[in-house]
Amino acid sequence: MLLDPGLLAEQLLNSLQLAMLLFLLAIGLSVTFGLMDYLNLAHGTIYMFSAYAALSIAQRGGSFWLCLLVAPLISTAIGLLLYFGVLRRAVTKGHLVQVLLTVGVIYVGGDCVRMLFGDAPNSVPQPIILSHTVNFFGFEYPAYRLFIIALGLFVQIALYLGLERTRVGAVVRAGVDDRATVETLGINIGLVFTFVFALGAYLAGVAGVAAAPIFGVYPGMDISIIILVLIVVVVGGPGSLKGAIVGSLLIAFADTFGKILLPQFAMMMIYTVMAVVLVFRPHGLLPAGRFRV
Amino acid sequence: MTGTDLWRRAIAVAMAVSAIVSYFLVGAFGRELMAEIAIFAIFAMSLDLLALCGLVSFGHAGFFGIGAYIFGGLTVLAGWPPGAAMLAAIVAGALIAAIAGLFVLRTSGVFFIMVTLALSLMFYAWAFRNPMFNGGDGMGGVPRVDLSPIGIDMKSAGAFATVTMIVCAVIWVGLEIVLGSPFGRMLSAIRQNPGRVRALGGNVFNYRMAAYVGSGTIAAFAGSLMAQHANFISPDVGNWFVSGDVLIAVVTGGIGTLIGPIIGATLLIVLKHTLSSLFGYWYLWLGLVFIGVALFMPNGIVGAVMQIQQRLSAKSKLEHHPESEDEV
Repeated sequence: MLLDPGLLAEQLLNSLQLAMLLFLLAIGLSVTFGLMDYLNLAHGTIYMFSAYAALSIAQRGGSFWLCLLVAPLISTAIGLLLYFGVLRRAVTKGHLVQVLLTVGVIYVGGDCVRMLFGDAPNSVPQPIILSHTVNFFGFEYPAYRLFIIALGLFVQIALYLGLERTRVGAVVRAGVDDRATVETLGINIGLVFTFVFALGAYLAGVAGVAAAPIFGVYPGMDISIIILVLIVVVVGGPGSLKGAIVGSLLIAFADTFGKILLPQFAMMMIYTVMAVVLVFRPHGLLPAGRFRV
Repeated sequence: MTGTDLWRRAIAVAMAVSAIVSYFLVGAFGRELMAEIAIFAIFAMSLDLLALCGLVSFGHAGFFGIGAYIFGGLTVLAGWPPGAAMLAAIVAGALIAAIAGLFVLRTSGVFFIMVTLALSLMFYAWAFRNPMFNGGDGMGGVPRVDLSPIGIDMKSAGAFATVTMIVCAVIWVGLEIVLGSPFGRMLSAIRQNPGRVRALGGNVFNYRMAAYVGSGTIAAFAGSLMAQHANFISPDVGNWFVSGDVLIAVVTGGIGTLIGPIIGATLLIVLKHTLSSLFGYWYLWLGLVFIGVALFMPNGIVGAVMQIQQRLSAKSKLEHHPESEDEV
C-alpha cells in the first residue's frame, strides 16, 4: 500500500500538517515548563476557547481571516486572565498542585463552553481562497492543509530568529538553563515567564483557529489534543525549540502512519514511540540544558 | 510516635466511626456507594505508597484495569473460581509492575508522569480493540467472590460494602506499619533527597522498585474488587481520567499521609454523585472545588488540618511560656 507514491506523498503531507498544529501547541507548553517547571494542562483549554471564538465570529458572518486575526487575541486575553487570576498562584507549588489546579480549569472551561454553545460539534468554514485542491504529480491535495504547513513553518522560523537573535530570546534561553543565575543578573524572570505564557497562549489560539475547519469545534477537543501535545513535549525534550519541532514531527508521523499500517492499534503506535524514546533517552530527544543531566 | 502520626490516626478513627454511622443511615444504594468508596480508597492508597518515594504516576489506572480484566477474564471466560482469579489478578499486577518498573523507573518527575500515562493507555488501547472482552462495549456477568461458606452473601449491598471497608481498613493498617518501618523511612528519604540517599549507600532503584511493585499489586487487587462491585468490566477502568481521578483524590486528601487518600477518595465519589444529581453542568462545580483545594489547601485536607494543629500547639506553647518569646 505504501508503495503507491501518490498515497505515500499524501500521507507525508498529512503528517506534516498535523506536526505543525502539534508544534503550535507544544512550543508554549514546552517553554513554560522549561522556564518555571509549570505543568499547565489547561493549555488545551485555551486552544478550545480560540476555536469557539472563531466559531462565534464565523457564525456572525466574519471571514476566516478575521477569525485568525481576532480569535487568538481573545484566547490570549483569557489565558492571561487565567494566569493572573489562578494559575500564577501555583508556580512554586509543584507539579501535583499544578495538575489539580489545571484539571479544575479544564472542567470549568469545558462546562462553560457547553453552556454557551451546546454539546453538538460545529465547524468553521475554510477560507474560500484556499478551498480548492492543488495537483501534485497526479494527486489532489487540499490547499488549506498546505496553508497550515506554511503557517507552521513560518512560526518555526520566526521563533528560531526570536530565540536565537534577540535579547528577549537570549534571556528566555538562559532562564530555561539556569533560572537562579538569570535572576541574580537582575532580570525579572516572572515578567519573562508572563511574556512566554502569553505568547504560548497566542500560538495555541492560532492552532485552535487553524484546526477548526479540519478537526471541527466541539467540547472535549481540549482534552483530546492535550495528551498528544504533552507526549510531543516529553518526547522532544522540554524547554527547547528543536525538541518541540522534532517531537511534533515524530508523533505526527507515528500517528498518521500508525493509522495506515496498524489500523487496529493506531493509538498504540504513539504510546510505543514515547515509551521507547523515554526508555533510551529519559529526558527526551533534544532537551534544553537543564534537563540534560 | 510524633504528634502528626497521632493526628493522622485520630482522623482515621473519625473516618471509621463516620463510616459505621453512615452505614446504618443510608439505604442499599448508599451502601453500594460506600463499597465503591472503599475500593477507590484502596486504589488511592496504592498510589500514595508510590508517592512516598517521590514518584507521581498518571497511569495508575493501568494496574487497576489489569486487575479488573484478569479477574473478569478468568471468571467469565475461563470459568475460574473468583478466589483464584483474585489471586491471579494480584500476581499479574506484581509481575507487570516488576517488568514495567525496569523501564519506567529510569525516569522521574514529569517524564515518569508521562511514561506511566503511556503504558496505561497502551492497556486501554489493547482492551478497547480486544474482541475477547467485547472491545469498547465491555463485558458483563462478572461474579463476586463467594463467601457463603462463612455465612456472608456478597450479593447483598450491605455485606459487600462491609467486606470491602474491612479490607480497606486492613490495608490502611498494613501500610501504616510499612510507613513507620525502616523501609518506609527510606522511601521518605528518597522522596526528600534521592542524591543523598545514594551518597549514603542506599540503592534508590531497589527501594523504588519495591514501592512500585507493592503499589501495582494493591492497585490490581483494587481493580479486581471494582470488577466485582460493578459486575462489569470495560476499557474505561484503565482510561486516563481514572488515573487523573485517583491522583486528584490523593492530592486533595494530602499526599504521603495514607489517611488523606481515603478522605480524598470519599470526597471525590460523594461529590461526583451529589453534584451530578443537583446540577446539569456539574463538572463546572467539581472543577471549582479542585481549583479551591489547589489554591487554599496545597498540602491537601490532611495537610491543612495538620497546619492548623501545629499553629495551635505553637500558640499554646507561647501562652504557657510568655518569656520564650524573648529568648528567640
